[in-house]
Amino acid sequence: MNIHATPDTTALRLLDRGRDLLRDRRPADAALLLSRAASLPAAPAEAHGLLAEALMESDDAPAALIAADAALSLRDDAALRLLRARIRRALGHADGAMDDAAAAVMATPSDRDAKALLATCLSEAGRHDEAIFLFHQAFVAEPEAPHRSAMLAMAMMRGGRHAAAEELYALAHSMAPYARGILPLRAQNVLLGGDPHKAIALIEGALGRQQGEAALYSVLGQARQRLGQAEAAAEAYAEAARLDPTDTYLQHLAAAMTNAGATPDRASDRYVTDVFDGYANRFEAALFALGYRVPGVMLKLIEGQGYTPGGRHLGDVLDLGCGTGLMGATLHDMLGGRLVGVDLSPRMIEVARAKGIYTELRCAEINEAMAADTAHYDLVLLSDVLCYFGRLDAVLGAVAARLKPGGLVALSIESGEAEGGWELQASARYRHDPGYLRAALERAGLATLEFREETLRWEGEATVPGVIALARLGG
Amino acid sequence: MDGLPGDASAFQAALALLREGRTRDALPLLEAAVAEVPWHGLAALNLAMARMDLGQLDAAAGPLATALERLPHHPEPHFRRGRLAHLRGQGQAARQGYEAALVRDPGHVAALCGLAELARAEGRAEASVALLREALLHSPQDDGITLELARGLVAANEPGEALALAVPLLAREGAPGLAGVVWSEAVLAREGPAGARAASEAALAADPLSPARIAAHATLLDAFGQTREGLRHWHLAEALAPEDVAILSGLAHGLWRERAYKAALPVFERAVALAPGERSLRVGHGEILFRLHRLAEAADSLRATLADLGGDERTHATLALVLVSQGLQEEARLATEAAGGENALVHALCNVGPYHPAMATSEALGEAARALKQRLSQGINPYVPVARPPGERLRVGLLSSNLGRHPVGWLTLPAIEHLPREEFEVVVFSLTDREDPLARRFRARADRWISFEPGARDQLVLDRLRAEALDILIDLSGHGQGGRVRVLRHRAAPVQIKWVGSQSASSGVPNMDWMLTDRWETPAGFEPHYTERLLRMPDGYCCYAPPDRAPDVAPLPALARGHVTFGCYNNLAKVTPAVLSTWARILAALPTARLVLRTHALGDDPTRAAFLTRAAAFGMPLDRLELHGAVPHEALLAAYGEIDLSLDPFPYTGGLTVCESLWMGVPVLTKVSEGFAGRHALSHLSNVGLPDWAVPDEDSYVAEALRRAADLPALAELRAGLRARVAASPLCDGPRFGRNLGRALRQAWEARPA
Repeated sequence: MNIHATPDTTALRLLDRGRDLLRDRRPADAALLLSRAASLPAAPAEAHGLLAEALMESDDAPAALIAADAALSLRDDAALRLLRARIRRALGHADGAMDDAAAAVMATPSDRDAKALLATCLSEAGRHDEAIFLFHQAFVAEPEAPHRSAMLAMAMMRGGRHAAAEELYALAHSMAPYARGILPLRAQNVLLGGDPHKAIALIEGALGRQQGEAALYSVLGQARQRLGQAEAAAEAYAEAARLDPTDTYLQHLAAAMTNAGATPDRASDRYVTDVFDGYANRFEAALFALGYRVPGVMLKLIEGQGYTPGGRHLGDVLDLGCGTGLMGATLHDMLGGRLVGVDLSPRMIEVARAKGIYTELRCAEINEAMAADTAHYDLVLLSDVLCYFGRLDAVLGAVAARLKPGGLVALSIESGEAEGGWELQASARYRHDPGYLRAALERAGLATLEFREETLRWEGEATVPGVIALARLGG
Repeated sequence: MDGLPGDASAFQAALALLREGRTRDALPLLEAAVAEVPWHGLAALNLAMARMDLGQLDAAAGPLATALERLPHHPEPHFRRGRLAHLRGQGQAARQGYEAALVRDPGHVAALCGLAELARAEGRAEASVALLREALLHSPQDDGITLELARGLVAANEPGEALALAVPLLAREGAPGLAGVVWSEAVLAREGPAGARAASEAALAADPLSPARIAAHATLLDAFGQTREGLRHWHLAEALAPEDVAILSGLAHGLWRERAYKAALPVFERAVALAPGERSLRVGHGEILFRLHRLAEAADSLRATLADLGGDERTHATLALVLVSQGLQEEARLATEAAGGENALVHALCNVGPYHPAMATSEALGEAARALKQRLSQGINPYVPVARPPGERLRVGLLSSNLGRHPVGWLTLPAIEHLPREEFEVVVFSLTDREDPLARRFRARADRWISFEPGARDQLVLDRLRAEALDILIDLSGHGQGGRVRVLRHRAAPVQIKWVGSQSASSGVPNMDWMLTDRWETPAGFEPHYTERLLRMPDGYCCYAPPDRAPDVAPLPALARGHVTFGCYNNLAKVTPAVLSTWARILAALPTARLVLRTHALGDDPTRAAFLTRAAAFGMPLDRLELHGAVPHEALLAAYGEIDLSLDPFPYTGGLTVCESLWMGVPVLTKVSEGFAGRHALSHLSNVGLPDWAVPDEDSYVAEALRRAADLPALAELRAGLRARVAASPLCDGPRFGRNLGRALRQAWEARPA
């Protein structure tokens, strides 16, 4: 029979059992017990903290953040800060993660994990020198641990110091020859350092000794692609996709490279979500680093229609594929009505929301969002989003239906000759024939005002050509 | 009062302790009282009762007989006699005891309950309900009776009344876990799955810290096959009510299903301490010890269960598994016979028979297969092939709990990887998902991967298999742990094939059309011993994936040591008396030679000590015998560097062990027997071009061992080139095997009944 337990012993036992389950790597089981412990009146900070840890290990970072906040509101200590830093980083809250990691380091300067996390945050924020300094400290304190040299190598790699990174990766690799993950990074670094041949040699050497893994074949594909060996690259991507069937990005790359059979006329929603969710926190930095210039050119085209900051306002704007809100930020001086953003990626939407510019953000596929919308807009933006669509008629028709009479649409495409008007590229994006775009705009009742062929950005050594255009409904 | 002893102090003190619930402390005092005055009826009765309450049923019988003799008019000795018989599964004797108690005390509640329990077990649900209603009249506040009545009402198709009884009980603070279990059975019977789930979720939301409500929810989740989520709730319930038997039992069984044996053991121990008369807990405890390779303790625990609760099929069958693992094949055979039933047939075919020299003949195995097939042919659920649009590719299902680092994985992966994709679509039905590099490769090849939660009901497995509209289904687990080959008797595909995975003999499963084999495993003429048709591969019957991190082949140790070291890294189950005496002959003829054995069972101290005694009795020189327990796989491979030559056991020969030995450069000497498992080594050796290492009898085994050991240069040369030879042989030729497997599957498909 059940013996009546006092609330205190119940709480203690829930905590104990939860801690045991967490230690036994059963975080989802632990989370159930700890959520009960945390729901008890006067639950201690530890209950919330352990719950946060369990949720984080069960891949539920949003819930983990709530629990970590609750724990820290009861007790501010270094371990909880470190935990929340991990959670925030997983959620793409880069600044918050860095604050927490820094607080943890200040509270316990000897904690190497805290230091490593702070260094990771710094590295991801592009503060390479500080990151390298911290990783170096951790490495010197524990030189025999392969992950310390691998992390320092990663920071070197991010900072563009590929030769130093190679030395450190080689060291890590020699200490842990079978550790998964080091070799793909090492090959990636060599490739970034400009030596695809050596990258290939490293990977092929490893494949002779160990079973294949997706990451190795993925880097092999990139190296082959760099050397212009499209067929071999396609094979490598296909192998990578086969080895990791859950990675939709690899599936898409493989499909793109094979270029055979019927390509879908639109990238799958899952693909778009996955790629950007994984990328959201570094998206802008990456775009600027790549020389991305669509927002700037679009701004010029729009200004050419007589809109100026503090002067004539844009009215209601619909930003389709708003991403992190780059266009919103670019135009926000000349808004004057509503700014509605639509994106498929919840992470992107979160980052955009943090900018505080958008009147409304919708997490949806853009055709569906337009179909559900009844409002009309003065300006619709399609910045770097049509590359995820093959055929453009449906999307441009829907855009026209959302424009007020005389309303504007600003858009960009990646351009190139394409039989039938569009084709899927090896980069896994669609490119469109400029002639096809003009015709599609016309079919949608949109009169072209501006049509600029531009270099959109650089990828490796190559440039990506494109068109940035402005059109008006009903001429 | 009857026969009051002169000095009543021990008895009086014992009664005082019993009143305080300190049964264990009272026991020595009661024993002293009975020793002093053997005819003291009340002391004997109390001693019997105390022993029964502590689960020492065997020891209770003596004092109980005294009590019956001395206190013939007292109801309690008769009730206890009935209870003892009941616990031991003797229904008739149990009824007599209970009825005798009721004659002496018509209001004997426990006797009424005992009769009710018997009635329910016999399917007389209404009679059971009537008895429990009567018991409840005498003892209206008894929660245990109320719950039993509720259970009886569910069985009697009265779930509404059952709920009316369970609901108020469940609403009480401190309600027992059993109340939740019974409530969930009643609500499921009345509301169906969706309604039961909704009701349980609502109740739980209103009362999130009630262990009984959580137990109810866990029971429902288990019933729905969501056993992971079920286990989560058992954990929670246990944290809230750590002394509740129903909850401990739910948690223990949940952990067992997840194969979390280490975690399950202490939970079983706690549950058994609270309810030593509960057979499922006792046997479960024994089986967990077995899974943890604590073989001697497992055998002790199961023997104690047999002594206390008498024999039943499951207890004997589990004990047989333990005994065979200890290398006690004959004892295992006796336990198998004692078990009887379907378990005995499966053991004869799979778990015990192939290891036992007398049971492993073609005749005996064939007979067991036919007997099992006949038994499993009852109650077959008709199969209607699912029509699906004809495609070019054949859809092949693989049913297994072992796709990963497991002998099944090592011996089938290259074949599955190289099965031509343009011709075959592969759907995997995974009964236990594994996370390791081999498992990842299986996942990579599968076109679809369907996972079952541990403990999924057979019907669910069958429905899911059938829903995939397979053309061919291959079983890769057999009757082994976690396997569901039995389900296939109902048929889930037009063509069903048995392949690796407890493939030690014919499966004996009705509707299993083919057995994948080769000409060494089953030469022409072997057909009558198999209930399946034989689908012979042109090379071996399986294809070995060598580990990618194997240590290099070490130089022949005899060259440095100056003496030969033999080794056998097979299960102790395979080491029979004949094997021991054969090895003893070899060692006697080579006075400097040594023998190294290495396997799990030898890590269990009592098992190892008993083995040494046996080995000595067969004339083994113990000073030249080296015994080791299990080591991690890479260390096991490295340990082949310590031996010159592998001595294969018989009649159950090495399978994966032979492949690994060869890969590590160590040739294997084998004696060929008749059964499928008696020929694995022959098949592998023939495929790497070493058929002369397989011999027909014990004399030639001894002679060949001596001859090989005498020629070290030849051994050294063979060793140096063996890995390359194996790598280049059909044994490791995945592309070749994959193509041939494709042809064989096509052949089986073409030959299907129209």
